[in-house]
Amino acid sequence: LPFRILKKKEIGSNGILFEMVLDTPLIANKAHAGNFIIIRINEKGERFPLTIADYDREIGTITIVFQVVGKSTKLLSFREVGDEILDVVGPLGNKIRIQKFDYPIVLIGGGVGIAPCYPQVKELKEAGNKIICILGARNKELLFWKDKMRAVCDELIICTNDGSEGIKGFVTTPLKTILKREKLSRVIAIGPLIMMKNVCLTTNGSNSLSKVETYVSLNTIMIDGTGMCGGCRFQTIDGNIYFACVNGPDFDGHMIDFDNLIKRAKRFEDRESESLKLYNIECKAVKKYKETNKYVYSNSIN
Amino acid sequence: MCTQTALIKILLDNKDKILNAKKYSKYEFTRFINSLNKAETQRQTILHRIKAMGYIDIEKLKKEIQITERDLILNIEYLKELGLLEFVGEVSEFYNGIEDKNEIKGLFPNISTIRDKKICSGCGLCVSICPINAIKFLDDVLSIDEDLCIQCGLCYACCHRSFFPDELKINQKKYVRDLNYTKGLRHFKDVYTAQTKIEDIIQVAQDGGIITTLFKVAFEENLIDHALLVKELTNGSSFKPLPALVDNEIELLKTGGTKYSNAHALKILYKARNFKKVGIAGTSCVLQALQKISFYPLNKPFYDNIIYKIGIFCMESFDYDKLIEILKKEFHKNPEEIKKMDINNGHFIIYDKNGDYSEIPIKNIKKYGPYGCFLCDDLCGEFCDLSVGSIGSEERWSTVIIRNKKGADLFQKLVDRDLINNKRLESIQNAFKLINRLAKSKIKMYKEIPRQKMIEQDPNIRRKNFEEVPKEFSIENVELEVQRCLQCANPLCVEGCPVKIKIPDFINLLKKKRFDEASVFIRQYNLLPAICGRVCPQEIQCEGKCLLGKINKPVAIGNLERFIADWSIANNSIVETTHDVSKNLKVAIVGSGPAGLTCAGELVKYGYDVTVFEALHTGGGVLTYGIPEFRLPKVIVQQEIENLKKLGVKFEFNIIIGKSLKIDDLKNLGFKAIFIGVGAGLPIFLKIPGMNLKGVLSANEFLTRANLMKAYKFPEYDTPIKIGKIVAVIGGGNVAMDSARVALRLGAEKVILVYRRSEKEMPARREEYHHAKEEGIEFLFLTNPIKFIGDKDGDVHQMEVKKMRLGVPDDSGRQRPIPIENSEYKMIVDTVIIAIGTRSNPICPRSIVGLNLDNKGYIITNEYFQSSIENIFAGGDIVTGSATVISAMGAGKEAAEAIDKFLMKNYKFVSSTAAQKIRS
Repeated sequence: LPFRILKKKEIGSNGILFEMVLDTPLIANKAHAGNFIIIRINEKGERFPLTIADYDREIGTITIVFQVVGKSTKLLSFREVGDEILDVVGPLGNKIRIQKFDYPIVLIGGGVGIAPCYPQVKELKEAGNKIICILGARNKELLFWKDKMRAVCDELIICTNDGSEGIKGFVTTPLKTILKREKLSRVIAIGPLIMMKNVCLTTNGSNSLSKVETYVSLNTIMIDGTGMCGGCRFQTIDGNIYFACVNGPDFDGHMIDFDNLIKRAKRFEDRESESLKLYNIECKAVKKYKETNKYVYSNSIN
Repeated sequence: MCTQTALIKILLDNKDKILNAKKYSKYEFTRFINSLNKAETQRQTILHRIKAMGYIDIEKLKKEIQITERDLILNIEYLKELGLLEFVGEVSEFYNGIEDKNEIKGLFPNISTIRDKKICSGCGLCVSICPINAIKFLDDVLSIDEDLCIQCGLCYACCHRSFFPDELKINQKKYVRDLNYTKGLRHFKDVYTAQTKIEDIIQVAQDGGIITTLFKVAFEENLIDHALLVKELTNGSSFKPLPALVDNEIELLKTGGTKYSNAHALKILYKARNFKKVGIAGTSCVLQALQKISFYPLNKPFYDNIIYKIGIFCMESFDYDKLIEILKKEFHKNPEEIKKMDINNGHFIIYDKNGDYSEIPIKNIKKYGPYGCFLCDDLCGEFCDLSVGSIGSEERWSTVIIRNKKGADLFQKLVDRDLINNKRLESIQNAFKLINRLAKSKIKMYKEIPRQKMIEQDPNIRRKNFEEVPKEFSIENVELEVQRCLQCANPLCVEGCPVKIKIPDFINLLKKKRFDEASVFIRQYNLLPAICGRVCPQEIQCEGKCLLGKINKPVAIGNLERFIADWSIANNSIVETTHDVSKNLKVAIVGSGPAGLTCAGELVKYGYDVTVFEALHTGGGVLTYGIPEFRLPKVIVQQEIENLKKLGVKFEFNIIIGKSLKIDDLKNLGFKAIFIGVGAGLPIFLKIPGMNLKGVLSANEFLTRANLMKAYKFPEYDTPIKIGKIVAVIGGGNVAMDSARVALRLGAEKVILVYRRSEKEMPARREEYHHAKEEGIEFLFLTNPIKFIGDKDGDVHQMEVKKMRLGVPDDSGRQRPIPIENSEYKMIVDTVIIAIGTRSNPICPRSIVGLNLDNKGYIITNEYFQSSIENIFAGGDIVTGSATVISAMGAGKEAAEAIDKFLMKNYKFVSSTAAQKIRS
């Protein structure tokens, strides 16, 4: 089964954030909020995880949103509608438990983390929960799915780092306000590690605010996504080891040793930048070649 | 010079015990010690001279010690076998291979070593030699009373199966020049065919009655006073042979006729010590034993009074209970009904008491033969004066091989006295050819052909590349290696093989250069020979059991398997597979590792419609992600998968059963049976501080990056891998060995393998261990990490370890490591690879409602590989826990059989095609 790209949309205009719809009927059929996929773009490509941001069982598609951070995501961003991706496997990880809570739930999506929030919001809403959504981004340009979110939540709060839309500041600013305002059953945060860490520090009861059970979704370095390599493992504050892929990817954020997690996320930092640098050089060369030859090579850089 | 050696000391210390055993009188004991002292002193002198020289110079030693070259060489061999010449590089391979050798240097172990190796010939000499009567034959099996044993090692020293220096043989060739020689017959003067004319002897004789006539004459001419022969137990209903010392003609006549079971004749040799002139008739094992004590261990204690040695032709003999088994199982007769047995024209013939006879081919009864006989390479009996047997002669005649002048003279007396009819054997057409052919069939080539070695990449070069380490096993290597096989009729190698490949038959096909057939033959048992030839731990399986391995190096079975697999791929040989009637039923295989691939291949051969589901983007499971390129090239794995595709197996990659598809989906898709072979892939981590530091990773992650994702080709391939300067690998199995060697190839300056037990307990395949050592991997045994220490960035930079010692054996039979208090120390490391094992992966098993799992998450199956759900079968590591590739394949194969039976019982088949030829 080929994994074809059916839709592609850039979020913003600086080539950082992309939304894609993939033709993957088997995965769509089993997908739930919390699941992720592992993709490998081409024969020499690496395997990396992406959370399923939406799915449509009827037409057999899943939606992914990704941010260009390294060579692989850059490569993916160059793929166009109609192109195929070599390998897509999933749905991986455990779906989140959907239940009706007594009090409202706050869902926080930061940056590209807004996307995986969406199916969770949708399914929790369907279960009859009151949902408050906080979407955070660096600037207005990188905000997405506001309307889609608004349609499935009870309250939508926007914040941007530069204040170009909504509240100026981090997602923890409106979170604190809500914590002071009302009793919550749960906080769910998906986004950069540092954001999730700060959300957890806000809700762990260590300050004057009340403690709220907080779940985060981990997107650590993975190869197989089935528990085989242990590369995705993280440790809890009391020293236990969990695998993000098979035990998660959603975990009680208060037990996570975020400092260790943040360090581990940088395991291959130098290699990744080396790889990206070489790729950029290659891209430039190809671009130049194409310009000078006025001759289109459709897949030469892929 | 007189040195009291360890041997003499032990004997003197146990003087009372020895005298109580009553084998020796006081006088005899003194005489025995004196002669032993002389022999031991001579050996000590030689040893001292060699020590002084620092090397062995035969010429110089000969002059200095005033000794014949033969005696000198034989004494040196003895010292070498004792392990006393290691300082000049002379090492006994046989003795070194003995695990439980006597700690005191200068003594051999007792004979139980020979028994346990199954190489005892049953000659019985050790029973005679033992000064305290601790050795017996119980139902043809050597039994040693370990409580009585004084550990003098005399039995081992005299045994012709422990060591048998060439010098003992060369003797005849070197010193007697006017002899003929053929490979089969060995040295001889003349060969005759003869028959006795003496009526009494004709009555009892099997063939020509020559041996009895020879002894009769020897008695009459007063050439001997006693003869050591074998007679049958005279209770009329048994063929149990008994050795006897006879001194008169009446007793002599009772010894006529051939015996087919082993009498261990030399167990009564000690009784002949006090007689002056003894004649002995025996098969080649008896003669070899005598040849050995013609020098060892005391330089002729029991030997000097033996005047005549007469050889008896022997293809093999049977333990008595096996002989009875042959009669019962093959002839359906009781021993009481039998009058006589015979071997003729390649058939074993029995005549029963009411005059009937029946026969079966000898090859059918070979499997009843004792292992000790499979090692014998002498049909006629070389070390004697005359050899006698029926082969080559007509009925009621015997073939007589005259070995030397003494033999010729004795034979001449029979002729002169007109006691026999005789003619030269050449007068019978083809007789000479026949006897030579049969004799040659017993010759074992291992003495001339060393175990053939695979050509390997130089360690200094290969430690920097990912190319396969063994380069080539050539056709020439194969031609030589196959000749080493003993072709045991009851082969031990097959017992050692988890899929029970009939290895001797396979080797026989190679011998005949029928490579096509050999390839088809091996694939009947093992669908992935190219893989097994490379990754099976042969040293504990087939090669570990190989009988030849007990006395020499085992046959290189793994390399032969690898050769034929590679040959068939390279030559695109036709694999002819007979499909059963195609069965219109779908079977799903979960996991494309060794168990899954084998099960799929077998089922497709049974005619099922088989689909393999694999979670990763490519097939092979551990063969692809775990085993490195230099040990198992991925192209080989891909070729084997392509072969399966050609057989009709379908592969679906990127599908995780339990996630992408559930078991119910498979049922809805029409799969009637499911085989789960998902392996045990979850890495185990140590529960110690610092486990989650950067630079500490599982062997699975490390190897998956390197092998599956080809991170060693980064940045050409996108998957990164990081390797420090100093790498510690924790563990002692194949995965640890692979990780260490990959780390080295990725550029680590120093790789240390840290294992908590000792070298001996290490479960890694021996070849990998040797390769790793050659490449410069360092090993730190009896050491266990207790803490990893990181720097401010969270990178590991130190490891604290604790020394261990070995305690009592645990469930695995290996000694349990126990930490030594206050033995902690730190070592600098910048990468740590954890290779301490894996556990079951829960994804698939736990997704199936109603599937019974044990407390570790492994699937519980019955003996037919069937789980608690009737149509779900499982095999390999997900049932057994981490094991070997071949055992998973064995499970896959047997599970396929069980699945076939299950489906045959439950469904009716619509037949479509019959036998198909598939080109692969």
